[in-house]
Amino acid sequence: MNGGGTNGPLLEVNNLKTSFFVREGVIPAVDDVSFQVERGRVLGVVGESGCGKSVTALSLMRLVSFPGRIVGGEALYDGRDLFRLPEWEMRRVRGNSISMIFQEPMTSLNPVFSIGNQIMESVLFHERVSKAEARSRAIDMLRLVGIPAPEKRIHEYPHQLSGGMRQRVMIAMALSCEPGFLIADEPTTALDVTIQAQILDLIGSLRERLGMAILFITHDFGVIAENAHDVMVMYAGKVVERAGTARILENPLHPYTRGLIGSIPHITQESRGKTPLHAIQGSVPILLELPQGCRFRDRCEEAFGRCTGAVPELVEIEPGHAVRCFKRQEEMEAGMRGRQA
Amino acid sequence: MTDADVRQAEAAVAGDSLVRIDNLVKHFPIKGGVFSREVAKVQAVGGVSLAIRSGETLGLVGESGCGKSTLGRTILRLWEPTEGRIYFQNQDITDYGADRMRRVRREMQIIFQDPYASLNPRMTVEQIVGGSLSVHGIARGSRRRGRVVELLETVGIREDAVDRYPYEFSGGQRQRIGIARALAVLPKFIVADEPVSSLDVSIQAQIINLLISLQEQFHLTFLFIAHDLRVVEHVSDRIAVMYLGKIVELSESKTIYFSPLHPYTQALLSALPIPEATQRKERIILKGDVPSPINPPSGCYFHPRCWKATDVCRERFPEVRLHPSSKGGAEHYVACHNV
Repeated sequence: MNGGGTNGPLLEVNNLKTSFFVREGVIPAVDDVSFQVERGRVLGVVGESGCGKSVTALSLMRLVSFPGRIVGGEALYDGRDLFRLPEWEMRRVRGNSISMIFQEPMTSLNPVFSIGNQIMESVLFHERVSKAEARSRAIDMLRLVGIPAPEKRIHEYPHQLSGGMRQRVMIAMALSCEPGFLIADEPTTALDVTIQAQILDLIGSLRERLGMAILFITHDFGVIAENAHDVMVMYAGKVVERAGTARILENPLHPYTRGLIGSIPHITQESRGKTPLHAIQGSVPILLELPQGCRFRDRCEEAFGRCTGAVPELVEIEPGHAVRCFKRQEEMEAGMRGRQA
Repeated sequence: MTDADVRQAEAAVAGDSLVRIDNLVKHFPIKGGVFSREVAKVQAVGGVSLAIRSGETLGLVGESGCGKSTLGRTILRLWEPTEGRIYFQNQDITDYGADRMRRVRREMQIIFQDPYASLNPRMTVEQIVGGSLSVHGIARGSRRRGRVVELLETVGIREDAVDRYPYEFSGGQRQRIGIARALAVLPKFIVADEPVSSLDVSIQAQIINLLISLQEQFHLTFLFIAHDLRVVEHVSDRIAVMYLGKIVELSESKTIYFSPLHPYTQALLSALPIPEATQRKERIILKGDVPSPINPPSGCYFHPRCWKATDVCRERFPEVRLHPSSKGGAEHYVACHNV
């Protein structure tokens, strides 16, 4: 599963901070987020609407639009800080070294250009190739993502394709320059399960073939379980837990992660239906009115005095498993004292 | 098993069924040309027979465009059926006029998928939830207001919401308001049309828990429409699987989940991403998309995507039949030549 394995991570994000400046105040959409992705690895980002997962992705591409702005941090891609590149150089990165696929293929494709045209555009921009070569590349890419009769299909327009086909075109476009890093922002959320299975299968096999690293954004722990090596759970702009996928599914530590996993019906032969699910109370907070202390505390069943006072740090509790929760940290400290005594 | 046997088995449950439909068909015309003549038709529901037992939750699953929502709405006669009969409490309501239908509607309600589109933004919560109380002459004025407050409390919304407008609430809260509206007239039967699909995961669980407890409290019968098999399995007693306007399989929800017979159901289940660390079994990846309901394939509608298809599947449409593995009260219906 390991990729090239040259020295250092392919992408290293440190203390990313992106805020939206609106009349009512400042919205800290992404607040001090750090992570690394190694070559050939898939990092899953899980969270609900408003947790900052998409803004994290857009920040990496430097596509955050007004009134949002990256206010701090760095994003080292292959050692270069993306946030310090001049715009013309950033344009060479987008679609070439780093590509992105979006949730809604209909709004991400241009309705007035044929799909062949749209794939050729990025090839022609990034590489010194003739039009004929770009066209044959577009046909190859469409074939690669499993679109039948690509020679004919390149003349079609987005509205002539089904949702699954459009998502394939998006993937073909994103991969046409063989990027080293792919950001997939809920690429299957709008699709039916059987089509979702097709697309996930496709992304997985292309990753192995091209050796890409992927930042995989989703709200579905099921999708994460089968497609990511590592997971980062976000809540209200902050990373609340980070670990290997198997680890986090077996032993989730943060109350929010536990709630998210518990919210999904767990079906066994013995389980009797119609039992209440482990729901998280309340709803996602409005980022303008964040509670003092831990941002999750007013929905948390385990909140205690300390959670009101300060914001907990992201602390590594076990090797490779970090969590932002006072309760877990105290349990760990108590455990260590117990062992010493 | 022949058709007659199926009828007989169906007739046996018809006694305690609250809702029964017989060969329900719903076509939508496609108009075109200068004179807007009907040039083709979309066969959204293509002949469905079902009995929904009193007090049960019947889950209805299928992918987008399979006709599950159309079926739900046609049962309530929000859309008029093209063919077939609808029975509610053993009365044929298919031809009821507006007046008689209004009386029946007190007993049957619907919860919609999109809580942003289904609440009128210019009405207060009291008007939204209490509207049906006035229409049916159940309560007016301060009595209505009191009743609305009670209903809101039942679904977990604070009393001070009565004079507020939908935009002041989050998606989950709006869905609760939609549920309160459906409950207002104390119906027996509720069609829940993808009630949690547009909500965040943690909120989904809250709404599912609410629906389960309301069912117990008010002895409701649900037709629960969804595309998420995990959710459907969790809330349903029985599950019907739909493909391109037809029921392809129907049985107890555990049977559907653990011993599906129809290849489509098997593919649907194997496509489900499971949030567990353990390695899963081989996944069935279906080829292609759902065919167009304007021009369905010959024979079995599923055969172009089916890995088990044989010649007979291309020629003859498989009728729903009772599978020999059914025993006792746990009937297992399936529409496939090869199982």
